[in-house]
Amino acid sequence: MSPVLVGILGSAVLLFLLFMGMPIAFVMMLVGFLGVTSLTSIDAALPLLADNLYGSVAHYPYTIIPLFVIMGAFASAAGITGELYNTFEKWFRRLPGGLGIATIAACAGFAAVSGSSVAAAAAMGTVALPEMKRFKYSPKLATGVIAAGGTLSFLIPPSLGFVIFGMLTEQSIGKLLIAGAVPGLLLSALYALVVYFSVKINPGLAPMIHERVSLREKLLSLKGVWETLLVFLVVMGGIYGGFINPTEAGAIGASSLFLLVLFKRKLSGKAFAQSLLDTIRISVMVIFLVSGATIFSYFLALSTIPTTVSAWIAGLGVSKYLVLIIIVTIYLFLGCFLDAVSMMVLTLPVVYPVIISLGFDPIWFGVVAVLMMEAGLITPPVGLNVYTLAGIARDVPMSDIFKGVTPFLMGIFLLVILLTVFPQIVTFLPNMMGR
Amino acid sequence: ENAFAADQNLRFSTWHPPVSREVKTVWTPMMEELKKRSNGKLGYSMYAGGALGKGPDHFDIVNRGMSDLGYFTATWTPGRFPLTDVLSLAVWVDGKDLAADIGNAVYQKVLKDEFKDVKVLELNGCIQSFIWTKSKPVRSIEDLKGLKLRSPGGHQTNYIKALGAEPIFMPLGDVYMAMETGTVDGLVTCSPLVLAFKLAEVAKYGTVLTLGCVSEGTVMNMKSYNKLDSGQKKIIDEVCTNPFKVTGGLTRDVYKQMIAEISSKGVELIELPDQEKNKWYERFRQVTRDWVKGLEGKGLPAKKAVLTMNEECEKRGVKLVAFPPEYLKG
Amino acid sequence: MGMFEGTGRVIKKASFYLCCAGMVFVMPLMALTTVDVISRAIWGKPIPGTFELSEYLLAVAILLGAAYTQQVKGHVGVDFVTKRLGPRLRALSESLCNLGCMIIAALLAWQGYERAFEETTVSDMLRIPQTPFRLLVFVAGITLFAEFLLDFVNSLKSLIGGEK
Ligand code: NA
Ligand code: NA
Repeated sequence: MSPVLVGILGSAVLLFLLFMGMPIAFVMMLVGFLGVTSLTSIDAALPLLADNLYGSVAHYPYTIIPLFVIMGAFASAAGITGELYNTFEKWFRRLPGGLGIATIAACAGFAAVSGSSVAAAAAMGTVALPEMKRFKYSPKLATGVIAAGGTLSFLIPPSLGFVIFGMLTEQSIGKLLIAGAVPGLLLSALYALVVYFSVKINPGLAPMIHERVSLREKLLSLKGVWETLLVFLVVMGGIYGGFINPTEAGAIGASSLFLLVLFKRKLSGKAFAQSLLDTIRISVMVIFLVSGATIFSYFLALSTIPTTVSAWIAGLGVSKYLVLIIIVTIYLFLGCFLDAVSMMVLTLPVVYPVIISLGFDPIWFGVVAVLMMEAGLITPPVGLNVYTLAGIARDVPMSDIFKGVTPFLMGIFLLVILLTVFPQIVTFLPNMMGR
Repeated sequence: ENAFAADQNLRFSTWHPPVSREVKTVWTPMMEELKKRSNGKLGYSMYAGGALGKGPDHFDIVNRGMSDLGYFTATWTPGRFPLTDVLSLAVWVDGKDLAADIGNAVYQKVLKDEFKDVKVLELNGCIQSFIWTKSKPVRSIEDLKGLKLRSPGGHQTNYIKALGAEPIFMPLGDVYMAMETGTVDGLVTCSPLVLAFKLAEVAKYGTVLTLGCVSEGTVMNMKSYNKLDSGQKKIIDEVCTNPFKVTGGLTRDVYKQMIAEISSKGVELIELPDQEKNKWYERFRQVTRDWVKGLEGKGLPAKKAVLTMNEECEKRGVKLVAFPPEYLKG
Repeated sequence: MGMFEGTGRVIKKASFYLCCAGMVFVMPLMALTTVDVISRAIWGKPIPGTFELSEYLLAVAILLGAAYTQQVKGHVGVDFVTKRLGPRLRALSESLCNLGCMIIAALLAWQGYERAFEETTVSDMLRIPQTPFRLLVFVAGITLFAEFLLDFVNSLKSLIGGEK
């Protein structure tokens, strides 16, 4: 059997087992293991699972996941997030989906700190979901907002996506990161519009209280949140000043909040233990997912499907924009199965030269590629952000979350179209840079 | 003997990015050369950029047969190839062709025991590495105090410690983000990888003083090797024993271009006065002494390895600056 | 049946306590990183080995929590097809899935054990061996296996029960 056929068969088995309800991390491990066995040898495949799991749990960048999740748990316990959302509610009460939009803004803020979208989904999920629930937001909208908002971390710098793209294409990573800023803000705005119109069309998604809030009351409500905002600004300053890294920011945030809740006596022993248990549950789930996705990616790499498909595109010889549409479509399709980093490593070496020879701007394509990877995080059947949310909002069926994020996917498409028509949106900032 | 040998498709795996100089000028040409010399019987698939596993996994990727051939870095799995660390002692080597000559000779004499399970095609210490910093120029040992430097592991970690800085061990792929976000203030690596991982964008200064570099090599899965007929084995041996020489990639001539390229990207290269250099070297020598003592205590012939390394370097007109001179007196 | 339920309780308790043992390591992870930053800010000196110690601490917390996470069904799966199945078909698919998971858990346990003792790699700075931490992959595997076995037996029970 040819490797491509084995790859297709493996993907079919993956889908079947997914729909049977087998935990996703283990499906990807199992199919990846069987696939690697059939494409190489049992000797090569046997140690893969244990080694990869160890490699994933002993990986410094992932320490950010438990640290941010527990920070969120402490912030809730201290009443900080509650107060934050009370303030948001007072200010944005008359804006349809106001709290959802505020959450998107918070996600964008988080994205400016962290480059990991699953970490963003995990942390924001712990913090914002209960709050939106408190204000009677429909679970579909609430989870959709966070799953989509979490993907912003991949686009707004610091972004791992651009670092990988830069290395694979010899483009300046600095320029790419700068180039990601404006589309990142645009996408946040589009997401906000999606929330606004969803609620406009279906007011049941986010019930509105029509009672007016006086300006005095609004200003007074700021009293409860200025400390939080100050802390956020200090942390951002620390990160952008190069003094601390995002993981350290998570640790410091968690430690100071821990001291705060101890001091305010707002954390019972039981609540503390529950925060820790939740933190572990969410971190275990996320890291096992990542490990499974990695193993499955090795299998797909061995199947040569990504390179074969890329080579096919390279040989097409059709018009510029048709090739672009095909590439976007194929990325969406591959994004259904592959994690973002593997997808770039496997396809870019072939796809990128084609794009350049057609006369597209390399930095511009970097942004489009990263946008497609972002979409991959929320498209079914394999959407890591959606899975992460499903693990946190355990009373919300996964199909509802996938339905909830679909309108946001439209936001991504809209942005790709916008960027294709007006490439200057991407290129003007990096072109202003010296080197 | 076997005129009808089946066509082989060999997987080659490396952590170098697909568009890096390593892949473009060494690994792809090397595999092409195998194909050419075998009249197309030895085909290949290239898995660059860690498509089959992360950097430190590369020895196992080949050893277990995920890939047939591959390039691995011994230093990234500290403690696993203890004697092979001898290839990463501080030495002025400015071309991989030269590094592989030295590495292969040392391998034949003292390192064979550490690689019983795989077919070693070549071993090399990487090209001389320097300290690259984000915002603080390093002109003396004092400047290093408290700096967090990414280390490739092994002796480089000990050197960084001995110089008073703080080593942080991490794979190269993570360094750009770590520099950008301030997880590290700088790094120790060789110039080709500064280019391959685009670090000239985040590093402003390079201090030109060799800290040696990691021990690396090209290995082949034993079963995959044994499957080949004797003619094919011979081709592999000829081409892969010094792939840098055969392909002309990453040789001493290329090195000069790379240094110029790094400068042109706006990195300031800092030369140190001889007196300052000697201060650094003396600390490196002490690291060698401690390392030898530690390994000899575990029954490994570390002193012999250092002597062999020095001998092979001298033979080729290369200075092993970390070599403690008293070793020659017996 | 009584004996099975007794064993089940023991397994569940064991996973829970293991997770408790693991989760407390989040606190030193938090504290270590914080103290490292503070020490850097005040004395210009980081805590040696913070980076690699963090990795080991994360490994302990995650691997010890793996089985408990399964116990509370924290490893997510897709439910929109199985939800529509009848009780018997659903029990059948659950049994099959649990069987698949048992294979993975068994492989993790077996290979986790083998690899732990093969591994001679140490951490770069502090020279702490990986072996004990890799051995936790074995612990995670074996406890996950036990949890999946419980789920498997339960799904078999409802499969047979559904036949009546
Ligand atoms: Na980001
Ligand atoms: Na997807």
